[in-house]
Amino acid sequence: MQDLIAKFDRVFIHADSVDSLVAQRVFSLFPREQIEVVTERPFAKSEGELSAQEFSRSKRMLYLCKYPGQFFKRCPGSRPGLACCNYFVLNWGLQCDMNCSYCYLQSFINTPVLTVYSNLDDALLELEDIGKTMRDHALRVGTGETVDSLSLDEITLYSRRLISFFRDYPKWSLEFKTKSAKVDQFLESPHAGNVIVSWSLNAQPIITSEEHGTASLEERLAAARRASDRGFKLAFHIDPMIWHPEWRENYSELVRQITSRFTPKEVSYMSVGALRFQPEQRHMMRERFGLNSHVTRAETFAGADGKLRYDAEVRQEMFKHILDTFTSADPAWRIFMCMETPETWLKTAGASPFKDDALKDLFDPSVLHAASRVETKPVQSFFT
Amino acid sequence: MVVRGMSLIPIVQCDRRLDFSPRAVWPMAMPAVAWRGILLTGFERTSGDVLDLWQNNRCTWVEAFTSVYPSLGLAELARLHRILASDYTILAYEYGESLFSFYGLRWNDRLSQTIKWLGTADREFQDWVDEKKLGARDLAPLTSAPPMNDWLKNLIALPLSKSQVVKAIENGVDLHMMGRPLTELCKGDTETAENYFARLETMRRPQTAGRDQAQAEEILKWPWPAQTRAEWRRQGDQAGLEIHLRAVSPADLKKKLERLNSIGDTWSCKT
Repeated sequence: MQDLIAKFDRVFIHADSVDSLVAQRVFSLFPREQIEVVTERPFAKSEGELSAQEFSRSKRMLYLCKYPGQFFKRCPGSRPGLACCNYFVLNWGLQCDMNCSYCYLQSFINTPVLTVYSNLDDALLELEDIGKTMRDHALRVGTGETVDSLSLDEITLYSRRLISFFRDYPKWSLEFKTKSAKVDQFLESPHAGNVIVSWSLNAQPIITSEEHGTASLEERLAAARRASDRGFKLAFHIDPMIWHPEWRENYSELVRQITSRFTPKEVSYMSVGALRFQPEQRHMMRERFGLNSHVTRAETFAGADGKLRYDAEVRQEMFKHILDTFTSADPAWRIFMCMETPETWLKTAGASPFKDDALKDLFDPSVLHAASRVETKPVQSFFT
Repeated sequence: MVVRGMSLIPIVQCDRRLDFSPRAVWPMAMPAVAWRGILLTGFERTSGDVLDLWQNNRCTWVEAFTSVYPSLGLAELARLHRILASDYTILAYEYGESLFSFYGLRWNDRLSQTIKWLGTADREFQDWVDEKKLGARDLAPLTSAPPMNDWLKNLIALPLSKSQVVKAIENGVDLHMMGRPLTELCKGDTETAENYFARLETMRRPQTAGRDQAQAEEILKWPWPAQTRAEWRRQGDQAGLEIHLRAVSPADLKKKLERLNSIGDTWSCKT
């Protein structure tokens, strides 16, 4: 906990959030002189595209405020041309305390602080409202899109409240997605068996060189074991796969680490994805990480959606390697490709996800359609 | 209706000049323009009359300046910013944001960084930036790179399109930051601009270029029907076969398609 607190130079709490549970917790954890109650967002003049320095500084400035808009949004992958899972996003914050060289937050964050929304109750009310029409759908709700689901959880304890809420919706599932090892704060929480704790995993050499400030592979897998032992479901995302000269050996070792510690039954699903980022992000990455990074040195090209990716053949080769390594360990492993085109699916897995019995329930379009009827606001432009 | 003539003052009464060396010369047929005694145009003049817009209509400095310079290049703005920041700090502080906003730029840390970098660059390079109409984002790679003046001098002499220039800047900066010496990044004496541009691209993405080249050579060995041109081409993150085929009759077309089918089999075997 002290390590986490030490990450922040300042904590700002908006006056409208002072009485919130999360603010009360912050008051109890941080030295009072580090906290400032404000009536407007700090660094109000910094907005629009952030410079590299402003972006780096934003990670050290914690800001609690109410979120005035709609919390519940649909996953960015669910749009024409991309095969994607039935995934819905609950953003309770913006920015991350960790520092991955490829992080896509670098392409759209325009606020100079790490924001945590204090009105989680409003988000839960929105979910209750959605529950009126969708209680019996197999809805998946994730919280790790614009903020790591668990890295700040020792401060917010939002996991406990979400787990408790989802006890009343046993057909829904709640997914935490993290690169931290912070699970102990919610392991004792009673749950309905519908909470998936997922880890974004990578080969340890890539964690060391590209995922700064995150937990090691060993720590992540150990945390996954603790969560699994408490009845929480697991998911692993090998994403983004990053090409480097020793990628075959290093990703084989990653698969070995996973398959030697977990059985396919213990892991609800696995996804793989390859490095991808918005073109405008490369300037920020170059400035923040130089060219001594496998990410900034990557040979990337614009894909059909405008994002920069490896050559399609390289991606297929990498995915195939992962799929083959898993299935040679045990054919029962379920793996899907995130943010990939149907062509890549066909060339790598030999079938569209919609035709794969093992994956069909993850890609059921009927859930997407049902949910789009309750949406009142389009997905924000930075997802497109 | 009473029409009031605009009053002019002698240029000698303007004791300050906001001379940011604009690329366009103020027309001799017009009086020079000033705002509260600060000369905004006609900096080369030593005599004649000046129209002081503040005295005539009490407009703000930004209103006066933007009415005489409705469009400016990024490098001109960089020079202007340099003068404002050193000699007219109050104007810069009060009007800086609205001035840049008039030219479609949002003032922030990133723009400030680029403007400051560009303001100290060689004049030749600055003029080239404005000729090519380059924007702040196009120059972003240069602000994080070590000085590359010799390379930039080499680059601006080449007949490249704007999109090629933007790509070349990015590739050049990346390669230099990856440890390539500037001499290696400059155009060779016998190299054409197009070849040079392609070389930078190959140097930046050597593995993909190598694979594409090998594939291009491989397909040349395949038994193509007559009057068929096949090329291995890259489009973004995918490379593939492009075939141009000419048939002179339905029978000819059928025959050629059969031949192409057999090439498809050859291709399948190779992958």
